[in-house]
Amino acid sequence: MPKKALVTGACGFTGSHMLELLADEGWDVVATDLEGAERDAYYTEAEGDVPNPVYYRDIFEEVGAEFIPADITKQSTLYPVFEDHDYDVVFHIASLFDYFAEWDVLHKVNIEGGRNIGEVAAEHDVGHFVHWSTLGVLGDAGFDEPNKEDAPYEPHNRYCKSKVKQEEVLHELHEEEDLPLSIVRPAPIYGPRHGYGVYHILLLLRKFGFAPVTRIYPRSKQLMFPCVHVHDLVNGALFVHENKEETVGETYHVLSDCIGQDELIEFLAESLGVKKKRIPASFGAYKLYGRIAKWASHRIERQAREKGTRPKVDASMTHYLTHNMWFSNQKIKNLGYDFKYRDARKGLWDYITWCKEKGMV
Amino acid sequence: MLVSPFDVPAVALIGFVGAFVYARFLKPRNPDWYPFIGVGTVGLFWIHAVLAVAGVSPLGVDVDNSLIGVAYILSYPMWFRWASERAFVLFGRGSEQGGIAWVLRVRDTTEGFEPDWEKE
Repeated sequence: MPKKALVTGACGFTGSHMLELLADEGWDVVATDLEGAERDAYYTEAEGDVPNPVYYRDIFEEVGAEFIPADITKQSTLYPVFEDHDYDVVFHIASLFDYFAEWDVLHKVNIEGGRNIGEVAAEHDVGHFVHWSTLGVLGDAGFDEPNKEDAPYEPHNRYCKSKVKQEEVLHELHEEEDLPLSIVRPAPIYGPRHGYGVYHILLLLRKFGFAPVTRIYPRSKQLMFPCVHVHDLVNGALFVHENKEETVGETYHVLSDCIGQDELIEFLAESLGVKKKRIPASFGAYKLYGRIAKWASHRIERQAREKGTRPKVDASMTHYLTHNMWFSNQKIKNLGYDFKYRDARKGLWDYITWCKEKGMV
Repeated sequence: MLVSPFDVPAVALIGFVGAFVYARFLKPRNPDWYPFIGVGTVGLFWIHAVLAVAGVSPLGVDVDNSLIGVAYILSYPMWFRWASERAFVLFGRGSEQGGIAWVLRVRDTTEGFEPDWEKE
């Protein structure tokens, strides 16, 4: 008899890939998400506060999954999802991933929504609860060693703060209600159908028409960039579930080996066919330019809010370019997980090809 | 100076404006417009220099023959290229690009990208 999984946020970017993977692996899958019309209404209500909705309406039909609509912000709508189903695992992906969103919307969806589904899952004794967090709950790693899973929380924007609170809420449920919780913390995700976050770096370079490759000196102050291909992420989450005897109560970083920012930008420039401009800079000068860029991007964001629109690139994204977001993936590797795209450049090459075919870059 | 101290600023200005006009309007019609503008501009200034040396400058420019003057005249293409590169960085290299100005503006006036398989 096939194992049974519930995927929340199933019509989103990551959720749709999770559905496809589970269907390929022969799982019995239940998909849940907001119903199309409800989602449209929600995004209209939250005008200007959310990115263009990513909603793959037909994905559950394509993979043959049962779809039960629910809204995680309304706990009563979650009970029908759990009734008459005995889940081996819940992959809780549903979240509002938006650096531009206001705190009350993030609180409602990510924190209260996380609590709602965690409580219902605990009540129904699910076999395993794999929760999607983000590496953004941690901060700048410094230059000695990458941040590991036990590093202290240091969120840099409202979205990441909401993910910290979400982790805390679910940890409480793990300790008090025996929710069999595992947490995966993905780096910024990319892959087919992706259009927010890593995509904005590609868009920025293509719209600039040139790529500033900043070589920071001394080289020991090199800044790193974390990212993960959605294929590695969903397979990593499934791997965490398959090893649940060891992974319950644990947190895992899921990302390719971090790459230097100058190497990354150089690679992207070559792949996108934009002109490279190598700029050697002292660390102090780079930090100064970074602060100016950050100030300018926050100013543009404020102007955009005043005009009732949103900036082309959310201001918080500049944080990844001015801080050393260096993270270790050793813990999940030690467990035996083998990344397909251990070198991010291989995954990014595939993704850029997809973007080019779709006319996105 | 062999011809005029205003030649280089004039070539640079034409290079800057020409690059902007090329990227925004001319490139979609024919990508060869950039070399046309460059060769045309530098060619005109060089022809004028030759006429000035021959003493028949239509602008009545007097010439002062010197080695530095020759180097000055030969540097016109470099200044054209230098100024147009500044324009490309600021405003982009095509109608689908916006350069640094793209991120500074709230409104996006650039065109979208074509899917790769639809390109010629």
